[in-house]
Amino acid sequence: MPIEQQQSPRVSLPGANQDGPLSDLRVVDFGWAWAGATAGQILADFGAEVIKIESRTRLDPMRQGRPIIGTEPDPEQNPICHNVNRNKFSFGVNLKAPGGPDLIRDLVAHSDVVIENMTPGALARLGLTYEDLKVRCPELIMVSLPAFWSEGPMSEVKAYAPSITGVSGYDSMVGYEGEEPLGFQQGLADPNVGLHAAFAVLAALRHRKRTGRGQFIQTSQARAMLPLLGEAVAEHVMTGRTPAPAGNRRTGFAPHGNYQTLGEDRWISIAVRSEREWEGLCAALERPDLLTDRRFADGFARSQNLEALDAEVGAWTGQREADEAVATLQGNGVAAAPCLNTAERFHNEHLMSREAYVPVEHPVLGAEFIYGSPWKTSKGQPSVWKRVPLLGEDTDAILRDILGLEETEIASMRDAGVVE
Amino acid sequence: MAEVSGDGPLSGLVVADFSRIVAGPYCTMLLGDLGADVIKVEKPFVGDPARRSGPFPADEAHLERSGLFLYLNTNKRSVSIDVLEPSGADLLARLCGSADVLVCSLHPTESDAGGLDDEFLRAHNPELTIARVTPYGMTGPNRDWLGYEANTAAFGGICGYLGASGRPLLFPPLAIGDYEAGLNVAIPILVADLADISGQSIDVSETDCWATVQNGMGVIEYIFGGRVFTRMGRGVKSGPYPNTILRCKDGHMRLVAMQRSEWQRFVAVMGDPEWASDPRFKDRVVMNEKHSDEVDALIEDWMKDKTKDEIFDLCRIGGVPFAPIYTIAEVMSQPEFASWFVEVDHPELPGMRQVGFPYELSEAPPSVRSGAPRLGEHTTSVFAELGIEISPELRAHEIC
Repeated sequence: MPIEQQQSPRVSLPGANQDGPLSDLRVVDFGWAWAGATAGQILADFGAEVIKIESRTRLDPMRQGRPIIGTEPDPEQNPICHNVNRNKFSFGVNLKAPGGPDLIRDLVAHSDVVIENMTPGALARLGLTYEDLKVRCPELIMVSLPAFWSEGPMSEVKAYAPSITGVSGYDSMVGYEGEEPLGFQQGLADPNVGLHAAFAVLAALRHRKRTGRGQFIQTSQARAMLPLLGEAVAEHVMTGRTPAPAGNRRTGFAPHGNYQTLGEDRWISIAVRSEREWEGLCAALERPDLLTDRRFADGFARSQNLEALDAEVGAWTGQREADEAVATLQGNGVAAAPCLNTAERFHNEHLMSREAYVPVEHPVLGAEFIYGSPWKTSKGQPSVWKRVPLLGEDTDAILRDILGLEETEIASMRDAGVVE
Repeated sequence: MAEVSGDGPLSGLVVADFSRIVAGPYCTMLLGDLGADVIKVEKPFVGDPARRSGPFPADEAHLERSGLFLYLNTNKRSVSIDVLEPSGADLLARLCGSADVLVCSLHPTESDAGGLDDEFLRAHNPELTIARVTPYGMTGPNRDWLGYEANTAAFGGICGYLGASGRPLLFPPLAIGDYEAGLNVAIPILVADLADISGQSIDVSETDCWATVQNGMGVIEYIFGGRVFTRMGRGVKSGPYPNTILRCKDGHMRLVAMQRSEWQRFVAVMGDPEWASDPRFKDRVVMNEKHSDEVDALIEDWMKDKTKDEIFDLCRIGGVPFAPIYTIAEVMSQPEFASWFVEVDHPELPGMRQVGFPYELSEAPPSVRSGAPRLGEHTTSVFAELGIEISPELRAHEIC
């Protein structure tokens, strides 16, 4: 039933967030790897009690990898896991063991939301579909975010995450002008669908608050890429053209690119759209002659002479340090920014002031920094309020406090390998 | 105010929106598609700059036919006000008096110059949620920096991952950073509504989006390993072969095979060519580091007379996790993706096919209730609902 109308107040887990806007919410998080985990992370960041279901018998990819300390694989040492699974609780349940799915059904009966991005069909085999779970939790909100789609031929496609930006059409546009696609070389579909899924869950929660009714939300990593491609789709529909790699060009801007500066592999981005910005650029470059150069007389002319334009800009940036060049350009009203690598981002004064990376203490890795959140609110709580859980760290508390099991029952479940 | 909401989950939520181009409009599109009543405020005569960006049918520019604008602005009403003029700002504040949320993408320096701070905007409605999306945020040393989407991608750290070694870093195409920023600002808006937070101010920085949730994880690897990732071109040369994009008859395929068994199944799909048992290729990590160019050529030779769909089918049957690099045209023609697109009747372009909704909801689904509005189409009616006459003087001064 809606959170406000519950007859008996829920028992929170030890360490739960009592002050966040979503602190009354409990989420069962089957999120696998990055995509599903992000959806849970967003809700957890606002204080929801997000319980990650995991097991040593089938380790999440983000519990694997080379250890940082020592040589033995250690599920507690994957630093990526520490980012997307912060603020969460860990329930070690072997879903393949007899009794495992029952525990989940019991937990969901005390929960509001379920998140999953499993291979299509997996939850059906476990008896944990929306229809199954609704029996004990009629107002359940459940979101499914598999790689491609949940039914039909695409539900059977097995492919790694980088394939999703390819199947969705985005990769076909990533590359140098007129050349072959290079594809997006970093995860994009994952956080993108996680954010869309969290947004849809919040909308469904609003609906539930007003009507008492939950619902099932279906999306996929490939489908959630499509909104980002709206402009390219419009281009194809309206002109018949099929967008292809265009390097750093963007219609309406000249110049628009990344220009190398002094230093090793250092680049700055410059984007000029208006005439005023163009005048500012010429002032920054101390090149009044460019203002009267017919090749660059207006936006259209500049767009026809981009190579020559890039050469002029590149000649200037090539003789300067990145930060100095950016300061000069910004001082003259030109949009410019350094291309920061990971180390530079971590040490950047502006990002530090925005708390882009926040320190947490981890029992195994010690002091570490994980990413914060991109929203600051006037009436809000810190986004990072708890480190990533150890695998199964909260199993006992969940069984005891939420499911009301006795110590002896818990012990026998451990012995049987149902829980960890 | 009379609500023009749908039946979606956000029915009854009233959103005043004077954001422009992509980031803010994508946020309000997400809200409007799920039933919120979105009142879009545009500058008189020129409107949202997205009306000028195109693409346009047959490449002929027209204020009511810009593909980007039409796509992003379904389900919204348009009110034309020049908010940077004092009397326009007053109208905006009065509009906010009847709204739950205000979405704003003015650059911080523009808000400063126009006096559009939170206090002013809440003059008629202290409970208003104000959501701002800007390149660097409303605070911090770079607050006043100019920044287009390319710059925020650069500063946010994604460009270093894109492109080929030794060549310029690439921006992600299509200004996707703006979309992610819009999505990120929509989330705390709904949280504030759900938790009945009165007078919440939300500040989303597009650079923060890249630096944190989109691409923040590399930082922890850097701290522990000192490793700074950089672009590698189409093939990732570390880890087991393959992890690359190769050419086939009609385009390209993405080949990634983490497990040995997957690679072995692909070798079987190729008909067990002799070269696959070359002892140099036994260790796939070594194969990747030392022989990837050679093996790429061998595979491309096998693929050169086969289309994407043929190879995709063979791989699916053979249990190989490779997938095509579809073009936009191909994505739009896949029967399985048909429901991911919608046709919308815009005032000037009825029946335009465009990207639909990113999700399906079983009880209260998203819907298209109206096409994108004409510029200022609803100025009179919206202010009539508020009991405000738009004086001829305001119109004469192009405030409204």
